[in-house]
Order: sequence, then C-alpha cells, then structure tokens
Amino acid sequence: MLSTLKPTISQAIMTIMLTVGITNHVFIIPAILQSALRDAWVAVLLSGIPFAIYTGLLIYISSHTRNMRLHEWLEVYFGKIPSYVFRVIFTLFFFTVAWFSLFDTVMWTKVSFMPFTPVIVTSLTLMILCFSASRAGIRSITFTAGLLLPLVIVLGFYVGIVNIEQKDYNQLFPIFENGWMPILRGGLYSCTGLFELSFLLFLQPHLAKPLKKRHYLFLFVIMLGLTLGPLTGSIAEFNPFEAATQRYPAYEEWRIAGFGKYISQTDFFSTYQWLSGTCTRISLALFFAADMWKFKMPKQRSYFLLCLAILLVPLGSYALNDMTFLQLSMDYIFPGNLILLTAFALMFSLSIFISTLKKGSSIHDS
Amino acid sequence: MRNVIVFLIMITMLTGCWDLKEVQTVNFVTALGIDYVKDHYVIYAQLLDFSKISKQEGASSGIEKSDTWIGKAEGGTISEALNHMYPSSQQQTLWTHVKAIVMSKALLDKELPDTLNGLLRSRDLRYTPWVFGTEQDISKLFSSVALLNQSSLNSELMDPEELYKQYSSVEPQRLLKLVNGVKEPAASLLLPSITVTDSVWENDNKPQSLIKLNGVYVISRGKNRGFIDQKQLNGARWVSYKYMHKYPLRFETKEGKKVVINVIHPVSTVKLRIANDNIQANINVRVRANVVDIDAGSRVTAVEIKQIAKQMMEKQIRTDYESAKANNLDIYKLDDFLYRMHNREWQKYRSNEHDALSKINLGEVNIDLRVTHSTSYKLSNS
Repeated sequence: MLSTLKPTISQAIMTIMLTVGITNHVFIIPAILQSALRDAWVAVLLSGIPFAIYTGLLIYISSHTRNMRLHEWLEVYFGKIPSYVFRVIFTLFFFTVAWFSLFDTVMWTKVSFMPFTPVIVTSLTLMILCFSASRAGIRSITFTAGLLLPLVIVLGFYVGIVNIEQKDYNQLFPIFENGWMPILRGGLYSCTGLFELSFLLFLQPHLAKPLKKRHYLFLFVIMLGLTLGPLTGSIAEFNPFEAATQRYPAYEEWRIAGFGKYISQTDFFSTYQWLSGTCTRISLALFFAADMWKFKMPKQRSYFLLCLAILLVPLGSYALNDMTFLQLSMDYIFPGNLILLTAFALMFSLSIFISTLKKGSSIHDS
Repeated sequence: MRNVIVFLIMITMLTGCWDLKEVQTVNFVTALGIDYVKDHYVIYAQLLDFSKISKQEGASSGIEKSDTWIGKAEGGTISEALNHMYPSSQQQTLWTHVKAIVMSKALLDKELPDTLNGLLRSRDLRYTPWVFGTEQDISKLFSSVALLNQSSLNSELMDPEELYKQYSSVEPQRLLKLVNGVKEPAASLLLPSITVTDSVWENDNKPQSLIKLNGVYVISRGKNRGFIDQKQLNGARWVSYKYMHKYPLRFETKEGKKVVINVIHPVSTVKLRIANDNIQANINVRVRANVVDIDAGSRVTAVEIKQIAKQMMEKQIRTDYESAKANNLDIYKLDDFLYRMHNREWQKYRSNEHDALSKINLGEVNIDLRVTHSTSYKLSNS
C-alpha cells in the first residue's frame, strides 16, 4: 500500500530546492562573479525580471499539462515526431546535467580535502548511490530529499550567521562601476540557474496533486534568495576581486566559518550540504532521462540507467581538466542551457496556445 | 544479509582511507613568518609541541619551558620556500592550523600581492589567521611568545582578541581583510605591527622578552604606505576601528587634577559634502565612557569631564588626521568612502594622479559622548 503513495507537493518543493538550489547556490556563482564582479548581486536582482516572466510561462504550461508527461502531451496534440525530438533532446540535456554535477563535485572533493584519494573512487561511490536512488524511483528520491534538506537549510543559516563577524556590506558598493555590459552578462548566467525551475514540469506528473500557482511563486522567491545569499556574502566577506578569482566561492565561505576559540574550522559540514544537493540532482536527472522513454519491462529501465551511470563514471573523473571544464561551462554549457530552457518554455507555451485555439475553433465548428 | 553487506560497504566508504591523517604523524605549524631578503623569500615556521598546548592539571610545576621549534627556509617564491622546508621535516607538514602570519616590513613594501597569491592558491592556508607586520627579526619574535610558560596559543600572536577586549590599542586583523588592502582600489587596511619588549616582565631577575603591538602599517593597493605609531592612532580608534572595545583617555581638569576615562565602543558616521574641488568630511561619533580614575581631592563633575573629553577627542581626531594625511595615509578610510558612495567624484580626482585624499578636509567633528557611570566611586553630576 505504502509503495503506491505518490510524493506530496512539499516533498517535490524540497527536491527542487536541493536540485536547482545547488546550481544557484554553488555551481553558477563563480560564473556570475567572474563576469559582473561587484555588480554580481545587481545582476541577480535584475535577472528577477526575466525569471518572473519565465515563471509565468511555467505556470501557464503547468496548468495545461497537469499530470501528463510533457512528451505525452506533445504526442497527443502534435504527433509522434515532435514528441520524439523532444525526448531525445531532453534525455541528452539531463545526461549533461548529471555529468556536470558529478564532475564539479568530484573535482571539488579532490582539490579541497581529498587530494590523495583517486577521483575514480569518489565518482564511482557517488554514482553507485545515485544509480540506486534513480533506479528505486521518484519516491525514494523525493523522500530522501525531504530528509536531507532540513539540515542543509540549518547549516546554511549557520554559515551565514557565524560569518557576520567577517562581513562588511559596504563592499557591495559602488554599483554600476563598469557600466551595463558586465551586469547583463552576469544576469544571463544567473538566468541559466534560475530557469532550471522548469524541472518542476517534469516532476509534476509523478506527484499526488498538480502544482498550484503559489508553489511556483514560493520557489521563485526561494531561488532568487538562494542565489543572492552566498553571492552577497562572498562579496561582503572577501572582496569582489578576490571572490572572482576563487574557484569555489561558496565553499570559501565555509572555510572562514568557525565559532569560539576552540572550534576554528567547521567546513566539513559543507560536504553534507554539497553532497545532498549533488546526489539529489544526479539521481533526479537520471530519473528524468529514463522517464522520457517507455520500457516494456522494469529491467530494461534499470539497464538503461546502469548504462548512463557507467558512462558517467569515467566522464566525471578523467574526461577533462578543470580549466577546460570551467571554460566549457562558461562558454557553452551555461549559455546552451539558457537557450534550451528558454526555447523550451516559449515553444511549449506557444504549442499550448495553438492547441487551445484548435480546441476552441473545433468547438465553434460543431 | 543484504543489509549487512550494504552496511559493510558503507562503513568502508566512511573511512576516507587515502586521506586519513593521524595527528601524531603530522607537523602542525601554528605560526608562519615571511621575510623578503634581496630577491628571495625567507619563511619561518613555528611548530608547537602538542603536550604543551593544553595545560594539564597538576603539571603546572612551572619548570617546563615552553617548547617551540622554528624552521627556516628560503626560496624564489613562497611555495618554493615552503618546499625547501620539507626535506628535513621528517613528517608531513600541515598548514591549515596556522593561527598567525607575521610579515616583515621589507615584504610589505615590495612583494605583498605575490605573497598572498602564493599563500592562498595552495589551499593549505585559510583566510582566518591573524596577520602582523614587523621590523624585528622574525625568529626572535617566534621564540618569545608566552608569559608564565603558558601555552603559546594563549599569546598576543595567536589570540590577540583577548587582550584587545581589555585594551583596544591596535585592532587585530585577519588575512581575509589584508586581501582588501591589496585588491580593493581605495581600501586602506591598518595592519598591526608587532615588536618585542623585554622591559616589562622579568623571571628570576632575568628580563623576559614578550610580544606587543606597537602601531600599524597602512596597507593600500598592495603596498605598505607607511607606519603609524600607536600613540597617533587615537583618531582612528574613535573613527575607523571596526569594533573598539575600550581605550583610556587621560586629561587634566581646570583645577589641574588628572582624570582618566575609558572610552567605550564609538560608532562613527561620515558625511561628505562635495563642492568645487573641495571635499568636506563631517564626522559624527557616538560614544559612551566610564570614569575610571580621578586624582584625590578633585571637585570635578561629570558635566565638566564630558565637556573636556569631547574637546580632547575632537582635537585628537583632527591632529591625527592631519599628520596621517601629510603622509598620504587614509586612516579614517575617507578615500574608500568616497570611492563607494561618490564614485563619479572619486574617478574624477583619481585621474589627476593625486590621491583623492588630498582633496578631503575635515569639516565638522561632532562627538556625542555619554558618561554612563563612574565605576566604584561616586561622582557628582554638576
């Protein structure tokens, strides 16, 4: 009986907070800082405008697809070919999402605190975990997220509060020192992370109830806050120039966090946060990739996931050096994601609009 | 059975085998000194004996000497110098617990940006150690750190905040903030200067050399711009210290009696008025004070004390500003304030190749002083 229970909306929100949160909170921060320096936080605030429009589109799409998978909806209204194209593109997309998270996490572990441990060990361990989670299905992923997230939030507030001693918010000024271009560039990177809110549409069909407008609005605020928090913190604690040279700015904030005379280092907590985010994100991405396809037998689905997982282990450990990875993500992955997610939302809204017109006219005809 | 297997896999993964470190097989460096001689770096590393860090009960016979080892190595870059220390180090050396970094004046004058890059990129060091500048021989500094054979971790070098709470003469700074003095375009950091004195404490009739803070180096745009003795820092204490706990102020009343008050946690606000090539800085300081010492037989009142103290503080703020400004030192961080809040003007004065600082003059200096109590003895109000 229990196994037929679908995840609730609050579990879905917590899953998204971990999945999308780690992008906005961690992965995207170096890109925004590097392109906009001190104005990075202005860039994020301004990206709230396109993000608001985007959230509007998501609400519109969500209210029409409801508990249908997106590719199923496409098949019903526009036939097999668009649906097939959609499935291929998004399988690849979610595979990239999983790869990106794996690579960044494994590299971070190597650089920060496990220099002697071979990366293949970290990436294999992580993939075993994520593979089993995605194989077990959406229920285990969302339930686990619900267990992981509360402590992640508590730790987030902890690091924000103990670092107040080091913060000087005057360092957020002057703004607009270098004109608009850096802000626009930073804003685009910020949008890349924020637009991942569209993952909700892929999650919705698996939930007990469809999502409502207020859930999207809630996540809209949370996502913006998640990006602004570590970004302003980083600029106020270090300075924008130092922060922009750092490879892992969010983690650096952990490295300066300690309390009292006898506990001077507490950065090990950040592993919990980071790994909670990454595990949920990779598991969910693999789950979405498999969810695009219909398998005759449950075993086939497991094999499909296993193939992806096996492919990811070497790709996540030895495929690139970190400098290439960073450049690749700044020049191609982030912009590519932005274009894809924007195009997706626009075209899907348009398709829905056309489908409602068709429906309307057919009613009119009869 | 399945659960047992899963459990076993999990516990093997939790050990972190490759990167396991055992505390007895690692050298923990607690203080790092960096000097720059001719064209190479000289590094001093201070190691502490673990058994001497925590003082055990019953072992305080006072005979054991505080046990510090000092390593010295040279190299063309910071990391090369560090590497030259390793061959004779017997065990792995760990730098993450460095609590203090002392930099020589020669280094501050020339090689500060490279030094910070070298220290911070390697990941071995954190942003949290206390930083100091010095003109003394660093190995001498490191060998004279603790009073009463206490643990060296309880010294001005490793834990300057404790003393600062009682006597806020020179504000301790962390490495994190030194980076501002290198990378921010207009920031000035008051880096504590450390020296050794053997004129205060003695043991068995032999003078003991101990560390004290004697002033600050003003670090701006990656360089030491000058030294200010702690006697000329009163203005900075009232205006620009981030958190000044308390500091004594001594003056004489009209009747010629001496009075000492403790000035407590001043909060200052600055307003700039910009008009035809002249920037006027109006400073308002809100502060509390306690009366701690009055000569016997004095008939001075709280109102008079307040009045004289206000005049004294205003005078100190003005004179300290002028003498620092004469050397182009921005001790009240007014140039930084101009950069942040009036960036266009800052850019304008910047382009004249002169520091904008030379255009900034003090206007009104207003001290809002409240004498809260007179400690254990009574004092009449007016």
